[in-house]
Parts: sequence; C-alpha cells; structure tokens
Amino acid sequence: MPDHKKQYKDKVLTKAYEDFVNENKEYLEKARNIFLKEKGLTFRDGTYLSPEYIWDWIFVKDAPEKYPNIFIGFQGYDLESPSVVKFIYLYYSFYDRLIAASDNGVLIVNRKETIPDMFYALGSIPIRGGAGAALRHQSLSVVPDNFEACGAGSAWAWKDNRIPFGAQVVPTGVHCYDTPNNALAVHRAGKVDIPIFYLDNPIGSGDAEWAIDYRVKTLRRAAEEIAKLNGATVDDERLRREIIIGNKVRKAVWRIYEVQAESDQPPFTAHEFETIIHAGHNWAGEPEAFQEVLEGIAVEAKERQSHKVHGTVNHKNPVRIFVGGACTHFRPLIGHTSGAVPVGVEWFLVPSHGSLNEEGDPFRALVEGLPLKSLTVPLEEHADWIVDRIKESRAEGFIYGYKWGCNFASSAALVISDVVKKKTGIPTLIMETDFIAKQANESGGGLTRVEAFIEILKQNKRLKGGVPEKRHIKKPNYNSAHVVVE
Amino acid sequence: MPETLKRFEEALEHRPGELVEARQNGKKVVGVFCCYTPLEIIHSLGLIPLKLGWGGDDELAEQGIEYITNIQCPYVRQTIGVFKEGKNPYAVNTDVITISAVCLQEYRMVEVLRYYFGKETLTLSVPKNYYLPEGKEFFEKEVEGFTAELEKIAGRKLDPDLLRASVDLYADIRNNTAEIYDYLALDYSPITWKQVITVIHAGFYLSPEKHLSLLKELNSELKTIQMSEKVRPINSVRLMISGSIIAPGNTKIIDVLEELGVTVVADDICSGQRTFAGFTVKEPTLAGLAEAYLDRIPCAAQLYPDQKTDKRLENIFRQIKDHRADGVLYHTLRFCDPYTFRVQENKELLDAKDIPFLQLHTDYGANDIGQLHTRIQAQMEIIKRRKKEVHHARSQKAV
Repeated sequence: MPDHKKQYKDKVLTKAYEDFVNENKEYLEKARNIFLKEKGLTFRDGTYLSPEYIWDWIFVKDAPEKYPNIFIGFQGYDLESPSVVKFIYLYYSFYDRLIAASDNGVLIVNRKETIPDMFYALGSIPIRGGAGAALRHQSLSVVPDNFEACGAGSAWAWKDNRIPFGAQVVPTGVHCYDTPNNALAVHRAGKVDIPIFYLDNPIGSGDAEWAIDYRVKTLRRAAEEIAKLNGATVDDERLRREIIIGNKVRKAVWRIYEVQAESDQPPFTAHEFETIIHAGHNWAGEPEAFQEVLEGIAVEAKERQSHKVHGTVNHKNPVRIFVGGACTHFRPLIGHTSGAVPVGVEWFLVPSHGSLNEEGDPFRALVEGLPLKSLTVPLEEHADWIVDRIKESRAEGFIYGYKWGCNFASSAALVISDVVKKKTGIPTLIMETDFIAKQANESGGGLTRVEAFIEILKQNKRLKGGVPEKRHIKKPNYNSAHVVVE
Repeated sequence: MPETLKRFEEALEHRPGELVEARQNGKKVVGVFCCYTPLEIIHSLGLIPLKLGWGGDDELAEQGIEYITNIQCPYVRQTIGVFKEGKNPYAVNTDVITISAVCLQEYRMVEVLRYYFGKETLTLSVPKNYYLPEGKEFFEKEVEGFTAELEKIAGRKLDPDLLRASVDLYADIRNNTAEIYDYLALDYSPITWKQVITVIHAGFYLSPEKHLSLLKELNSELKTIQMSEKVRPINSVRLMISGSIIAPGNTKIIDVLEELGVTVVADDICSGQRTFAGFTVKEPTLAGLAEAYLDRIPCAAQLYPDQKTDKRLENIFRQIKDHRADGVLYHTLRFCDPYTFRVQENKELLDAKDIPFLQLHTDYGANDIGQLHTRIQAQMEIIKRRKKEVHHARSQKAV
C-alpha cells in the first residue's frame, strides 16, 4: 500500500484542511448535529457505518491526515445535507476501501468507458480509467510530463503500484485514444504483468446487427476472462440483477441533473454538482449505498429549493453553463463565487442517460445502452445529444473542454461548438486544459478566459433579463420498477 | 535515374484531366483514406479509386487548424487544408470519401470533411480485436455492408468475375512493386528508396491498369541496369525507416538523409512497404478480401496485446535482416499517438539486439531541419564507428 504521508509530505496541503476547519467552526458544528441524527451507511457485505464513524473519517481522523487536499473546494459542499456528507465519505474513502478489498482478494479492474454493472456482477470492483474519481482528486495519478498524449490514462497510475489492479478492460471507440494505447504500451513493455482485454466498439459501426453481435461477443469474452481471474462464473441472471441496481443508480444520477437543470436557481455549486455526477462513473465501489445517497441528495436538494436555500454560495440568478467534451473538470474555474453554475456536464451524464434492458441477453443490454453505444456514434449525432441537453437545461453558454494531448476529443471541438451555436444560438468557448491540479492551482490563463466568458454571459443575461423560460426535460427511458426517487 | 520514372511523371501529369473526363462521362471517383479498404471492390464496381492524404506542406497544415485543433497530427491538418484550399485535383475530383476507420484522428478528419465541406462519406469499420474469430467475422460482414453501399453509388451489383479480375490486377501490382522494392536490399541498388516511394505513391492516383504497366516497364528496365552496370555505390550507412505515415509530398526527412549521403534500404511505412507486403488474397471473394486486408501487417493503431507474435515487429526485424540495415530511424509525426506510444518498445527491442535506433519526432515545419540534420549526422557517426569496430574485431579474429 502506498505511503500517503510520504506522498504528501512536500505538498503542504494540510493547510487546506486547517483553513477550512478554522474558518467554518460554527457551520461544521451545526452540520455535525444534523448529520448525527441520520442513519449511517450499509454496505453490500452487511457492514454498517455509523454517522459518527463517517463524520470522524471525514473531519477528524482519516481524511485530514491522508487526503488533506480534498478540503480545497469544500466550501462548495452543502454539509447541512446529510446525504452530501455520506457522499463525501463514499467518494473519498474509495481508495482505502479499494485497497482493503484487494487485500481480501477482490479483483480490481481498470475499466475505461465501460459501464460498471458487469464488473460488480463478477464480484470485482471497477475503476474508470484516469485513476478513478477520488483517486485523481487525491493527486494519485502519475503523469508523464513530456508526452503529447493525455496523461490521464490510468496505466500510469498503476505503474507505481498505487492502485492494485488485477486486470484492465479497455473499450475502444470514439471517445479515447490514449488510454487504450497507454494501457497497451505498459502491458507490452511488461511494466504491469496483468491481463488486458479490449472491448471493441469499432468506430462508425453503428447499430448494424453484425456490429451489435460482435460487441456482445467481445463483452462476453471479457466477462469470461475476468470471471476466471476472480474465481467467479459468468451468470446472466446475476448480471440482470446487477443491471436492475445499475438502472437505479443511473436514474439517481440523472435525477440530480434534472434537479439542477429544472431549477430556476440551481441548487448545486459547480464543485458539488461535478463531483457528485462524476462519481456516477464508478459508483464508489458500493452500488446500493451509492444509489441511496444520490437519491437522498436529490430529495434534500429539492428541500433546499423549497426553503429558498440554494447552492451554498451561488449568486442569485447565476448564468447557466453546459460543459461538453471529455475528461475536463471546470469546477475550479467555474468557482462558487463566479456568478455561474454548470447545469450539465456531458461526459458525466452520458453513462447515466437511460436505463438498460433488464430482460433478455444482459450483454446485449449493456452493448445497446448509451454508454457503450456512444462510443460508436457519428459526430453530428453526438453534437445533437448535447444540443438536446443544452435546450432542456436552459444553458446560456457552452464550454467544450478537452485535455491537452487528447487529439480525439479535441478534433471534435470545432464541429460540436459550431453545431451548438447553429442550433441553440448560445455563445461557446473551447478550452484546452491540463490536469486538474494544474487547472486548479496554476492555470491563470484558463481562469481568465472562463471568467471573461462568464462576463459575456452575464452581459447577455442583463440584456435579455430574468431566468430563461422553463423547458421540458426529456425523460430518458428508465424501465426499472424499483426506482424510488420521482 | 531509371528512364521509366519519367513515364510515371508523364502519366501523373495527364491523370487529373483523365479524371475530369471520366466524371463528365458519369464515372464516380471514390477517395480512400487509410489502408484497410479493399480497392479491388471499388475497381470492380467500375468506380475509380484514389488513395488520398497529403503531407509535407506546413502552410496547408496551418490552414487545417481552421476546422480542427492544432493538437492533431500535421497529416490530418494538412489534408483538411488541402480540401479547404480546393486546388488539389484529386481532392477536387473526389465524389465520395471512404475511410477504413483504424486511425481515430483520420476518421475524425473525414467527419470534419463531411461537416464542413459537404463531402459524401462512407465508413468501413475495422475491428481492433482483429486477431479474434469474432473480429474476423465482424469485418467480413462489414465488408459486405460496405460493398452494398458502394453498389448503390456505382448503380450496379458486384460481378464475381469482375471482382476476380480486379483481385488479380492488384495482386500483380503488389508483386511487381515488391520486386522493385527488393532491389533496395542489394549492395548496389539501381533505384533509391525515394524513387520506390514515388512509384508506390503514383499508384495512389493512376488507374491500376496504367500503374501496373508502368511497374512492369520499370522492372524490365531495372533488370537491364542491374545487368549492365553498377549505377550507384552504396553508402556505408544503410538505414531502415519506421514509424508514422510519410504521405505524398512529405520529403522532409528523406531530403536530409540524402544530403548526408545516407542510404535508405527499407521501410515499414503504411504509405510505403506496407502497401504491398504481407498481403495474400486466398480467394477472390468478399470474404477472401476481408481476410486478406484484416490480416495484413497491422498499423500501430491496431491494438495487439502480445508483443512476441506482433506482425508489425516481425516485419521490422525481418527487413533489418534481409535488407541488412545498420540501424533504424523511427519517424513520428507530432501528435501521432499510435506510433509515438510504440517508441519506447521499439527502442528497447532494438537495443537488445544492438541495433542503433534514432527517433525523430517532427512535423512539416522547417524550423527543426537543422536539429534533424545534427541528430542524424551524429547517429551516422555512431553507426560508422561501430561498423569500423566490428570490422576491426573480425579482422583481429581472423588473424
């Protein structure tokens, strides 16, 4: 297990924790009192974590010592929302739980843009490439500085054995170029002696029957290989059950988006919103607990609205921004005092758009679901999906972001921005960003550009006046009868 | 210089006019990007195949940035620039653009051409798991679907007899090209690598019938030259070029090499040796073509997990041996990820066999020519010294 103290020794980030706690003593006390009245979290293996344990993990014992830099941006969380506090625990304790699970023989799978259902059904824990949500935030990624490829490819994170991956399952398709290549380079060089499986989604293959068949066969083959590694068997019935849970998670993520998008005064700050829906990629290693927490967040956010309490430090009537592109985080740039708020983030929402078929061949259901299907669609279709979200969320500006070195997401930038401009008439901004740490702490130029863009949007808003007229939000098809949140 | 090369030049001069005339007579021109599209199918349907894609012009690459960002490889940017400029006769005379989707950037480039320039496009999906039975099965179906779309464009059905004739024609072209290429393995080659590449690139535009007749002519002439005299003494340093595409028009590196008196004896470039090598159509059917194209020496963008049985690497080592290359010059275009990701692997494998390796990472700009010059020169000195030491050691041993 990595030595966190050693890793953070030279980063002097403990100050972030101290500053936050010292500046928010009363607020924290109030939030704590609210939270301790709640029930805790129950995990898949029956483990129950009390609210006291969760609170102490975040604010007293573990996180302050191991992950002090997570407290940067903590002002963006509504800590008076108990579900948000539980979310914070699930999100930032993921790494510790992952290591513990691995020590107990659970297979950790590096997956890129696949959906998690299959991996949980096989008794493994999946992490999305880029080193996983919380892991990235905790600066665990190892990034080669002198490479023209995007460094988010998680292969570099395990190069130093920071994540105990037992296999990598890498989809190919129109979203990412660097992770499959990065993974292959490390694998073939023998740097990491673990199996690699490609879930092939041939670009341009679309919905042709033979393309679906091929992708189903490829997925099933990968499942069989993972099962062998994990001492499990491929059980269609179990996968169907996992898809039902997955559908609930997806619907809960989408509900968070709906709350943000349908509100005249969006309740989530950029930090809160991005972090929560981003976690929809991995489900924090605990699908049921994660689903419950997200559903709670949506309900509590509604309460915030009805109490006229909006995102903790948002401006009144902020400008609404939709974020497109891949692997970019704008929460450090759309700050909680900027007067802007994201109402949707493409790459966090795609995996949760609609449910998967809960009957029939579960592998076919996975292939036909949007997350994998989106890896094969033509550019204009991709752009139209964004246009629909922009219209329904009443976004007043569009930022398309991509990482430096990601020549595939970047190659779509102009076309998508042009389509958005043409079909919605809103201003667009294309942003090339670097890794999140640099983005948050060093990217003065990026911040200036976003701030200037927000000023333009504010100006537009002043000219038009008021909040954009409400639009109907298209409900994706969630076919699970078990979903609680409505 | 072989006389026949002038005939290639003449044929290329006439080609744009021929295309205009053919189109006026109702023929359709199908532009082809990347190398997994069976040209035989296009040809047998009475369509005119042109292989597209250009390099070497920094100004055109700059023009491409209007439609795509500057972190795309220069080849992709320049090709978009060519369409934007609208002067290139082959780009102008293309009715339909097809892409065999292997390189993701090139695929996106075709999407950009469709969106901004209104080009009709057709995609042939290529499986990354090409080595698995389900990958092969998928590609066979994909080729069938692709052919059905081409039939619509051609306005006629595929005729098995015409397909067989086209398969034979292209096989003949590959065999003749291979014969010419093999001269590079000799101590005294009657043709240079640059000339061989020119001959290959001519086939991107000429009709296959014309291309074949010129190749045959050139082969006959080369035999004569070889028999009659030693035309050009081989330089002491023999290099193989590997890596990213060197598209028509991109002579940047070869010009530096020629200036330094280095002889290129082999390549494994997709626009060079890999256009004809490692390629056998076992049966003249769609299934046979699908199998042959998928089974060709793969592009680095094809993800093959097992290093030990990688045909791309086998091809490199086989050529180093057969063409007695003293070292490998690994050329990567900026932002060409598939080949850049393989640099370290190639270097380590060649180092293990004590074969000098030099990576040149560049674009189409002129500002690094001096650096390239210096680096290549330094590498040449290292190779020359090594050769002398080996020679000396052998002499000592003999004594």
